[in-house]
Amino acid sequence: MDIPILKLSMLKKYFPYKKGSFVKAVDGVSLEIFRGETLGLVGESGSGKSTVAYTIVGMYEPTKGQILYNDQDISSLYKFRSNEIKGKIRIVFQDPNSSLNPRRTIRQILFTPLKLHKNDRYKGFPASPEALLEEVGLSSIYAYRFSRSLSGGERQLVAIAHAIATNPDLVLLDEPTSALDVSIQAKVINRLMDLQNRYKLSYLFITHDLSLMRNVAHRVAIMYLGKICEIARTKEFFEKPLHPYTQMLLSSIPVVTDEEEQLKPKKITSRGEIPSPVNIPPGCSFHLRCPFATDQCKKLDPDMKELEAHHYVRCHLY
Amino acid sequence: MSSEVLLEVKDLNVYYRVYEGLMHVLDDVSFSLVEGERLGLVGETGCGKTTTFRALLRVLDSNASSKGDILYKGCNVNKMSQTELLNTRRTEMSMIFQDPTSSLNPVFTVGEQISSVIRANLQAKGINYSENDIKDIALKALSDVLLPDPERIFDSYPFQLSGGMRQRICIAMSVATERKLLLADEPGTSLDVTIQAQILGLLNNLVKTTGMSVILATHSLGVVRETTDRVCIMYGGEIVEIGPTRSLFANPSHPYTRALLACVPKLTGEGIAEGIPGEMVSYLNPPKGCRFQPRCSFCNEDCNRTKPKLTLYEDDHYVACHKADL
Repeated sequence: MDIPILKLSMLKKYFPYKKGSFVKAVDGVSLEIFRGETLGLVGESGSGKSTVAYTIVGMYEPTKGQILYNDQDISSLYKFRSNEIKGKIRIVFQDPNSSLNPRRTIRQILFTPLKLHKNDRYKGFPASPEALLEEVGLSSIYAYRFSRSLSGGERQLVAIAHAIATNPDLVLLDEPTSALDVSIQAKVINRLMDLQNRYKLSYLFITHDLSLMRNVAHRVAIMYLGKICEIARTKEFFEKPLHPYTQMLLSSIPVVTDEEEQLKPKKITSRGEIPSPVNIPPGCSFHLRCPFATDQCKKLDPDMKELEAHHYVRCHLY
Repeated sequence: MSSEVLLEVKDLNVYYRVYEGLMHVLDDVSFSLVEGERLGLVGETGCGKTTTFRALLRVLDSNASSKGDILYKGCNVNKMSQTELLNTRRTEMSMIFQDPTSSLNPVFTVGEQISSVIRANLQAKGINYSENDIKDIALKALSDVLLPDPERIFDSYPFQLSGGMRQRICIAMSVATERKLLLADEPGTSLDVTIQAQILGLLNNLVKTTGMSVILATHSLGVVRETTDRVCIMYGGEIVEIGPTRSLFANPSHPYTRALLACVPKLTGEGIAEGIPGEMVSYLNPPKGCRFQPRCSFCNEDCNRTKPKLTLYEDDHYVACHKADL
């Protein structure tokens, strides 16, 4: 766990908006992902988590900042990347209904990445669509079906098979289970964990479900209005949340047992909504919803501080 | 809480006529609701929560037919005439639909939409009103749901507002005039956790202050645990377990309830269960006995043959399972 497989440094992505103003979707994100690690990226809708993933995979070109894959700069659009890089960083989208081509059979869908990345795979990796299907726990008879005859969970598993077909290092999971029921989610998550152990995959797991991250992630990062406001190892993160926004998120989670109730911070009740990323408030972007906000917070944007080992917070309180 | 029964549903069956045949979706659903009670309806996608709501209000699709008794204050909703039905909908019951974006009309302002609801209610009650009264009621409703700057929102179109604000407007529409029963279909699902917490807190306050009853349909067990007095667990169009929220969560006894609870990721970080094997029932050809039996690890021949009835398990806590004491 020493050299990060992926490193983002001060990544920014602005989208032009009316008359010279910008939607600051990602506004200076720095993070590292190591081999075999799951990093949970959590935030409300509109916080820019998906934009981070789309930029890493090359669907957007970063406005500023760098994306380093194994110390190699890959901050370019997908079409300018080498075939090898394309195969090493893969993505699974939220909605499997729209990410699978309805006119192609599952076999045809899975065959494309296998064909394009024939030379990048090592021996013993599943090399046929049928083997890939079995790898994610689906029966190989599904190969000749169309995606419409599969259930939501099965479709998502096909999307996962498609992502791992090129023997990647890093898989970006963009809310892979938020469209699924909990019982199906459990199956998909278990399968993902299984694949991670077997192939030493790294995951960037984008979600808004903190309870899921408690069970899945090695480290968790919280994003708010294009910035990361807290990042820590999962255990410390949940035992000692420091940022007021993290505490607010944690205290808003509806839980099902009394033991969990004990673990929720009681301090903060939720108020307000996430502001528009066009007019990000000056100073700390969270100060409008923060009960501890002072004059300093209104003026000055706090810096990221390492308070304990591997526990970073962006807040004036500390 | 008074103990007067407000709504009683007896053996409600709903069928959908589709190309492949007849789908038997709701199968003998029975429950009752007393005044001021908050009842949760929990189950996975396609278990019949929304169908139950639509049957209660008689707004089912044209290919559906419903059988059974829905007694609202002693009157059978299924046998009401059109006028009685309209009056009930205008003055007694209201529903919050799942998706606030598609349940608001994009070409009318929020004010026009909320006013038309209030106007219909006042007309049905036979109260004289002026347009100013209506606007006052509407503005009060908008501020009741904690929307900032009600005047501005009254004049804006739904697309100018965020998802959380639209959901609040839907709630404001349902509670603008006094109602006895609120049917809330997944009111927090499309929202972020922080906004969801605000919306649920709001609903709770409204129930406390106005004394109305709520049926809350959701697939989130956590939400139900925090906002209801009693819970129905639904599976495949049947109620498999019903009981007081506390005792049901402390002591779930139907195998489905237990499996579902095990699948929910916990903050304690104890890992994730394997999920429930098998697939949701096919309503075209549901299993003969217990509908959960093909996926159940405790099933025996009994479960295959006869359908279990809701039987008393402990105080006010009923379970439909042959093996409930396992």
